[in-house]
Amino acid sequence: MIEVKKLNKSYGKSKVLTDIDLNIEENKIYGLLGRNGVGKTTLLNLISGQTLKDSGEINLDGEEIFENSHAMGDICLIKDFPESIKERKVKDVLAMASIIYKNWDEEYKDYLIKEFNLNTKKKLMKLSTGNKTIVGLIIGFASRARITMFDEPTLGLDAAMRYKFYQLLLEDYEKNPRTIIISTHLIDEVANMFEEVIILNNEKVALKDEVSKLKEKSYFLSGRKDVIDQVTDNKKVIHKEEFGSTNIVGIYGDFTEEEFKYIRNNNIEISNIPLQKLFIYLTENMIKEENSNGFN
Amino acid sequence: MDSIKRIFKFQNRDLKKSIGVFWGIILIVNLLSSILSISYNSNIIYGLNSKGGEAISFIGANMMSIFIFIIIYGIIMYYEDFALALSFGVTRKDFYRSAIVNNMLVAIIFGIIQGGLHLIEGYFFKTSGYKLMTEFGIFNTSTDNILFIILSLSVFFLALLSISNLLGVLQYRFGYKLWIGVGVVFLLVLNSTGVSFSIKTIKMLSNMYLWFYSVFNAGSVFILEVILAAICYSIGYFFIRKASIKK
Repeated sequence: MIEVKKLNKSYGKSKVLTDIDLNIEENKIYGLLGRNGVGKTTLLNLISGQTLKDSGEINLDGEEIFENSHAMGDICLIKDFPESIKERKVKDVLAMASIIYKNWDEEYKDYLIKEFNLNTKKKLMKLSTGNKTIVGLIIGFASRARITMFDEPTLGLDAAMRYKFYQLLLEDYEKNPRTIIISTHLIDEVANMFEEVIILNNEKVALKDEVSKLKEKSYFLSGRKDVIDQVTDNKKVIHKEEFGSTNIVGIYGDFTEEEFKYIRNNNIEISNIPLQKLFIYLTENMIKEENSNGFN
Repeated sequence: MDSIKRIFKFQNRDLKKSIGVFWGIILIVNLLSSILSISYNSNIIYGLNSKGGEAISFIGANMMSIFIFIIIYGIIMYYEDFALALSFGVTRKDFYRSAIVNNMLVAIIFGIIQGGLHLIEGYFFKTSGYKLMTEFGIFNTSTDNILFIILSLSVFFLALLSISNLLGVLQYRFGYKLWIGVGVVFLLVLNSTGVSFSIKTIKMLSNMYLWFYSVFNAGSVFILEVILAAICYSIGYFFIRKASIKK
């Protein structure tokens, strides 16, 4: 569906994205992860045509998306509102969104306003950060855009509202499947919603894989240091904790049957790394090692 | 086509309200100034004076307010609407096309209202005892018919709107730097030509404007205004076609 080829973007002398290649498939929930300033928002801005690329291609169904009305009609990016429109009332912003988005669902918008208990008569600037975020979420949901992207969708939301958002997102996704890309720092809360993750690091896509596959090749090993070292020597160690002679090691990679046998025979405890921890370890490691060999 | 229609609707959502409020205020001011000047035979004339003040036009004085409205209108269109439209995924090209159609619509509406008011003023003055100012450079309310007056005004407003549209685009692209640039150029021009900014300078500019209209006939003025609009819209598109969204 969306195909990004050799995408480059820099701001002045500072390079943000270099030779990005990426494929986004139809009807999947993607997590876009990475450290601050790694280029997540820039990538979303480029996909939605809001920022100009330096070079490369971004195609939707084979058509270049930049300045393409047909393609842009299928894309909705939700992020912080421009400063210049914060004098506008919420109901006006929602009305304007309803004019622009071709698949706008007015009934669903009304339902969401009630659900989030939003006062639409207030000006955007008079709303709390959380309520401003809610206005964006309502637009994102009600737009019914084929590709809906949320940049930090839980900014300023309390735990109850965040839970409501995740619940609504999954409910709506089930009824109206579409491609959703979520860029967030609250990995632990959303990790289980993602079907695939894209991790940006050092101007590039450092990792793009299905969550189920990631789970399959990430392990915690716990046991005596000297025993564990035998099986982790040629593996990607993404986490290490030492408690006296006992080590807990996080591994990202596949084990052979022989290695599994060795683990069992030497009383090494093995378990899958919880997703939120896995993403944190992966991003931390990428920073440390600059990951020139990649995790792919 | 469907996307253009939606953007046009988006852009014109507040048009009725802003035009209604503006002309509502202008009509009240026109009415009050006419009443004050005529009923109380005031020495102070709240309108546009011809040389020596023997002829006046209350409606002619609307031009300055219209000028200010149009300049603000162009800047707001990009400062607010363009930023929002871009964040909703509207293409720059579609927005710009729609902005030109919107400008044409505004020019025609303003032309009809201002032209209509000139007509009403003509009837009103017959009973007032004042001499009506009829010569406005691009048209004459005593010799030209109403359609010509409306057309003259509409084309004139379109030329103004194209300048304001360009200002809006430049303001969006360069922000405060635009106004610093304008200030620097202004000072450089004043210093290099040795012309000080005074009432004399304004009069000189005003005389240049009148000379311009005395040299060209109405047809040439139309063409020049249309050419000016085309140039301004072309330059504007050059700058907006690669504009990125701003925070």
